[in-house]
Amino acid sequence: MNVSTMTENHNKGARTRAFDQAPGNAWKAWIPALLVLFAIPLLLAGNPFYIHLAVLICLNIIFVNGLALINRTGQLSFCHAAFMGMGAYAAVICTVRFQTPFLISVSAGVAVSMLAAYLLGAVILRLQGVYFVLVTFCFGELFRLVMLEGGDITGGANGIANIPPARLFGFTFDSKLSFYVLAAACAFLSIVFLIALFKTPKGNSLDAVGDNPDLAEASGISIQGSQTFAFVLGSAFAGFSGALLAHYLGFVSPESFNQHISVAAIIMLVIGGRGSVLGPILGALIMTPLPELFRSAIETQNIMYGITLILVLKFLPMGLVGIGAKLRGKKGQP
Amino acid sequence: MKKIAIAGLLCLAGTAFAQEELKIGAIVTLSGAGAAWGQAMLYATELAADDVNAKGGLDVGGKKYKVKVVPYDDKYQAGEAVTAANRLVFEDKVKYIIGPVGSAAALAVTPIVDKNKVVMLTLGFTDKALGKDKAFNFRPNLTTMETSQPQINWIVKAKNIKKVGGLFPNDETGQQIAQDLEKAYSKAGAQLNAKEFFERERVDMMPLLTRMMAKGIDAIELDGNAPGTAGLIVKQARELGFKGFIIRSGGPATPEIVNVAGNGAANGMLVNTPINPANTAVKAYSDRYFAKYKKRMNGFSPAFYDGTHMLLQAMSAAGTTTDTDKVRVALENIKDFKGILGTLNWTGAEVYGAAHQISAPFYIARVQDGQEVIEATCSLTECK
Repeated sequence: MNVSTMTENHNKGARTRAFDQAPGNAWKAWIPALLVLFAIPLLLAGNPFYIHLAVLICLNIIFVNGLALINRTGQLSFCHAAFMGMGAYAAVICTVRFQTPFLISVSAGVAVSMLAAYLLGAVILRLQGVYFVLVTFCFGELFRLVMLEGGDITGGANGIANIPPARLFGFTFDSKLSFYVLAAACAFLSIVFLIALFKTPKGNSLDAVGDNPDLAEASGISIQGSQTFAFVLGSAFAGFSGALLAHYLGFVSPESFNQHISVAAIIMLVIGGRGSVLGPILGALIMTPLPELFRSAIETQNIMYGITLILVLKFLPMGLVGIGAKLRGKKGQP
Repeated sequence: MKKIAIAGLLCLAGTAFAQEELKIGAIVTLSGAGAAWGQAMLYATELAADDVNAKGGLDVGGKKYKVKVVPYDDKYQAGEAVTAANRLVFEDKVKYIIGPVGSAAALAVTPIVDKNKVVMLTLGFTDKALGKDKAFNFRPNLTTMETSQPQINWIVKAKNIKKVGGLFPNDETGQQIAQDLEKAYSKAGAQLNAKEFFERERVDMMPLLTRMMAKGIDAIELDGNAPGTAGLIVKQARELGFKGFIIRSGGPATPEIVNVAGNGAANGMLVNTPINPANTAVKAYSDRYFAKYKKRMNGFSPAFYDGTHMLLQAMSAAGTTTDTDKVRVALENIKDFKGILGTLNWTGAEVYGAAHQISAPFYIARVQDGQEVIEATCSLTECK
């Protein structure tokens, strides 16, 4: 029994691998489709607010992609925002205090996130289910408090302001449009990376661990190894998006990386659809601008937001990706 | 012929009634911890807008402008405030913003408003909210920086206080205020020698209070706490048998504190208040506020009502609503503005590097049976 058949055998309803199930090599059609999607905001260049939202969507795609990667090995991280914050703070401290170039700052941010994820993962990835969720939840809170108490290094609750804009090969990304191009390129690469990863045996082994850890281990796949790999890589994605976000907004503060952000990432993942590469994209695409609809409906906005979430979860438990699977199901295709 | 005449008349009437619209954005906290302050600011702006609209609009350079307030919630988060600011500046194309409430949000929004020359009236308590390089930031409310020193000097001397304990929320407001107060008390000859920080959601203050009282403090400082939390602290301190003074050096919240702690526990509390109960103009404003929103007025509201009126007056004086450089200068040049709080001027050139901080009278009051009784009247230099 090879890994891929095993994966399919253990597909549960909520974990439909819509992408893997896509007939033929549909993903080849995806790349141009994605390129078109990322190009749309360029047509809206006249309105910087839309570009601002588009930048946030791109950064959220990278962020949620990381969470999706961890989730595919069967773990739900509640401290994803903490790794985003680590990347952001590390990059910003490099840029502001040591005047390092943008590329080095971002690399430092990603490296710090990866190192922290590796150390944390070595200890806590043995935990399963709700225990893992609880410990990551506490770690997220710990990170926020450390930043809050960080004194002059982290700027305490006031955070760090006046972060210079991103600069790459002599070009300064100081306008929204130019930064969008950078963010879109990064988001695109992160998607392609995930598509490529899940085409390899390594990617399949991650899915296998997520679907049935016992069986995976019996087949010679290391659970600890696979989960650590996914946790470190997923956290690197988070750190990367954080480093970009900080240089885009020009500002970091601890409450920008609190539990709400971790939960928001989980919501994007669940709404979009777990277990597929398309899920995080859809989730970020829809959930990032959604609060804007309700921003001025002041007193009722949280209620409306909640109702929207409940409706989606009620009718689309597999996330938006589930629509495609449902339609194909009706046509009698697998 | 008759028809044409009527059509012509209608057209004339149309142009006579056509008003330009002047949008004022509001980035305010309307959900969560800071909602009481966010509402106070938003309602102040709306009431000020009602004033000019009732007179047929704001007269700028011979044209009448109808003032419209566009409010967005920032959820007390800097990131949300940045998105709201982007939306106001680029989508709604506003040139004037009231808010944000939080210090972190104010700092995060500043680059956007500066770059796009948007005049901003913020509540943010941080000393970094104003500055020489922040030409478009103004603050129409007093902060601890302005009020703490004269007031603490007076209280320490009049009530013979030596040791003070303070409980502060562990966020930017709390950290900033603790730092300011520590300096102010030591300058006044007393000591803030028991400091406790806690998370904003905390409701059980007994362990913190017990620890503080063990240090033999004469007074408890409540500045920086949300109104409801301050009430809890007062109640629990009195329950623990604390006999000393309870001081609130800033952040108007007496009705809420009395509500939570009860008349007995709150008696004798010394509070900073921007409002003299004898001031009939504020009383009238407070009644109007309650009539329209069915909520009791928060003490920050009059400052933003006056602030919005100053902003509108600056536009009239500058004769433009679009050239914000001119409006900004006109706003800076307003002197002895007769607001409902009293005579208002800009100050802060020495402290912040830009005279964009309001200077308003304020008072020290003693709480008696739920009411504030004025004990001293203060200016930014001394209390009498």
